[in-house]
Amino acid sequence: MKKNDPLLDVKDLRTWFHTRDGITRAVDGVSFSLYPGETVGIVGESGCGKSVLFYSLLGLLPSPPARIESGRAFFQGEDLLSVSPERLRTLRGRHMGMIFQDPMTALNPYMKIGSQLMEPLLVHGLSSKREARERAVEMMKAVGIQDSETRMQMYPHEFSGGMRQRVVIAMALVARPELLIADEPTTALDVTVQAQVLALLAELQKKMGMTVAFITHNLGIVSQLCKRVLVFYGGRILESAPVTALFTHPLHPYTAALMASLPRAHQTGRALATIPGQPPEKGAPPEGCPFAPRCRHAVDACHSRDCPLLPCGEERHTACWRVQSGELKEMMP
Amino acid sequence: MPLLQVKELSLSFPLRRRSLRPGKKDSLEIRALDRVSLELATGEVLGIVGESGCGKSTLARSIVRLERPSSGEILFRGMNIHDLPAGKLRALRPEIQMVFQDPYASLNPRMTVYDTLAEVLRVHRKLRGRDLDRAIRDLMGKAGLAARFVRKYPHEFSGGQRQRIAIARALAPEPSLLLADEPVSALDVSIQAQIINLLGDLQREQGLAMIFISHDLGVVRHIAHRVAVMYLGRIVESAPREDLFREPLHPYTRLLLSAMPDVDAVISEDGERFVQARGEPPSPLNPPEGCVFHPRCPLARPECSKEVPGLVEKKPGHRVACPCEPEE
Repeated sequence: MKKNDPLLDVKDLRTWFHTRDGITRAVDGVSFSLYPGETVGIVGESGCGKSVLFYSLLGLLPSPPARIESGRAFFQGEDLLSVSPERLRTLRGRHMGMIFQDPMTALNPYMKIGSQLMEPLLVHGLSSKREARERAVEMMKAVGIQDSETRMQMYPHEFSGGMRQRVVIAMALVARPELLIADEPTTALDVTVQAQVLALLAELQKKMGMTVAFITHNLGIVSQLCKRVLVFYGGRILESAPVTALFTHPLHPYTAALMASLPRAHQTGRALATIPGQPPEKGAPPEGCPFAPRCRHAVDACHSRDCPLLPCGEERHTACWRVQSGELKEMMP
Repeated sequence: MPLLQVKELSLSFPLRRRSLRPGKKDSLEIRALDRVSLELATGEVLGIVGESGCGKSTLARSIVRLERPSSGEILFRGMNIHDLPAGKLRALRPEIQMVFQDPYASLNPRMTVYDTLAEVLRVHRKLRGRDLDRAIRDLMGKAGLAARFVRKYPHEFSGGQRQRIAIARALAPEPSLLLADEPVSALDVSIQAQIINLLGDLQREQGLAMIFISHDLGVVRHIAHRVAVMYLGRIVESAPREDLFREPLHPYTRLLLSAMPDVDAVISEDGERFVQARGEPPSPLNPPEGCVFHPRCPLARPECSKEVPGLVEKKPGHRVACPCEPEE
């Protein structure tokens, strides 16, 4: 693999849920690439499809109701959507690690911390039992857990929330995966503990050089941790940009509206700009831009024609006809 | 006279643990509140911030009489609300109302919007018939709910709309004090802004006094006039909003502010910006001696583990429970 080849290259992925109440287009025509060693923020509100996207790549969605309608996802040259379940299992443990939101449910309450940490190595036959133990102890030290030898013998309930999330991070990284998917890893934690866990993730990323896909709804975290951001809404990517560019000069009306609705220091006490209406619950609409019903710049064409994610300036992409055609320029007030 | 005065309020939850030896009583308890004092004027918004387990919800719950304090008193218009005859108490109830964090759990799933609001209006404002219908329409309008939703059940609404119903219900008895316990933390960013604006507008229009509890400093900075910071059952700092955010004096407040993931931080200074917060909040089951923050405090001195620092007014309206001078 060459250096500038993407580690993960997703093309036109569609994951739909077929339920009694009809079809939910949770992910609808998403294409993007992740490059080796970068930290990418995946932002969006609840129900925008950001988690479903990665769950479909990892093969973690129950089917039915979920069905992958189209798309390809190349991970180091292999299509994740067409490999055998056995191969996907190997890829999942050894090459792709995942951190879930809630450290309470991500750990097995009946297993000692040590055994849970060693499990990925043993299941995938990566090392002998003795080696696995050594690597687990090492990994516990790396995530900042003191007296790791004693802690290995303890059970999850004996750990605090922050400590448990450290264990989950250690577990995801013990097999040294190339890609780490972090799905809201600090949402269940307190602010001061969150800052510690974020610092830890940044440090580990630097040391181990893995690619990180950081899924979150918190724009503040993205601004501190990520280099590049993908903005999700209604099952699609509406904008992708380097982090500083996105925050100083958002292009898509949705991104701009989202920024304006944050309670920021310089507008204390003033009314916040709001986005009328609700985020879509049923994913992307059959046609048109998913944000059109709430967009104050929408014209008739927005409701009937999809806009694909098109290049727009340096390293930036946006999915809005009116921005593309130059009709909308300055989005921020 | 302030609208609400909380004086030296303490509250401990006894922890029942089955002992192996019969007849032996365990005296473990969780100290949720430890001599908390605060005041609130009519029309003022007090923000209370702190991490989970710091006692901020327990404080709100004892103000609406959902918890009974172990010692100390809560005076509303000078009357001790935990020591009132039934008749007076009934007259007082409509004055203090609460909005809870989870709009899914705090509404009765078997009552329509109409039923939910009508119950309050019948009991507290004695409205019937056409007056009742009109009052319900007005309330829904104020809370930003379309009148056509009146016969719908909670499950038919989204989270933000449910929180609007909860707000309408809290405002129905025309309270003078509203307690909002994390009212926006369960909501998406774009919906959060709608609810914050709504609460802000209603507060200004009706001159409501409000206690706004949140772990999100950005939201509190937006809505509160004065902010109190709690840690492990105690208030460690309280100040007017501008002073607290511009010049925090307590080491814990500084830690909290620097840990806040702020969009603007990266724009002003490039690169990563993480604090070196040490450790996690200790268990309220076994709080540290002396200043509760000393095990995590960067300025801790040996005295800190012995003496409990009191809240001292260092500047007008700015009170801090830390004798150290913050280093610049």
